[in-house]
Amino acid sequence: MNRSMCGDHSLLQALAEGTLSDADLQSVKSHVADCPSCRVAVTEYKQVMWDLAHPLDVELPAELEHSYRLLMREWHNEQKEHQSHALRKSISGSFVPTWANYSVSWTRHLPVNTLSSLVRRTGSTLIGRSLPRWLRRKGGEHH
Amino acid sequence: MEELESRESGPTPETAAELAWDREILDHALGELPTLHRMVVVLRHEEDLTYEQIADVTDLPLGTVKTYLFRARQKLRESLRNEVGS
Repeated sequence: MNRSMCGDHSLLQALAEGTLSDADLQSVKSHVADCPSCRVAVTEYKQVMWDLAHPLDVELPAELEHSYRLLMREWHNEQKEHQSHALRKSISGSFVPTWANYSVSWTRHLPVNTLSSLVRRTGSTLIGRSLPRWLRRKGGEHH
Repeated sequence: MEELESRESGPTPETAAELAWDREILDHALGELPTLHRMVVVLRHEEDLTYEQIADVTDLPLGTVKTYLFRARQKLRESLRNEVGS
């Protein structure tokens, strides 16, 4: 057994993910079959990946859901309007969820559905912070 | 490897509740990750983008995408282990 690969988590993750190169596949598989700790690690990585691929549906309260849709629509419209001359300024404006402000350059490449999915997926803990903050910033506009 | 293969067909009803709990733990752990780490994980595992596509849409070097993914998945696995072990 190749001891040097034991506990190499980049290989174990790749095996779990199915992205291991053909050159490594057989040797890693046969090591994992004989190594309880690596086998546990691969199983756990598979579990993490499976869970991530099957997210729980996060049900937002109706009021927040409505506000969220407004947020995405307004931001998307704003983005289109400013596309040619002030894209970056528009993106860093107040319509972007807080977490996206950390790095804005990537967001312009994303279809709005993907962005929306990202916000929903990553927002389970952030949504409670960023959405109310956004609503406060928007204060009054929807009332 | 048989137990690994069986995971690929998804959870049995017996493990559904456990998996739901795992996902809540993961959701919480995701929220604790640095923003870019969280982003590459979601793009890879929920949006099913390739590493190259992620590098493309995020403007991150491919090596950085791989590094962030690696660290994020290690962290998520640790979160799951810690929670299950506690």
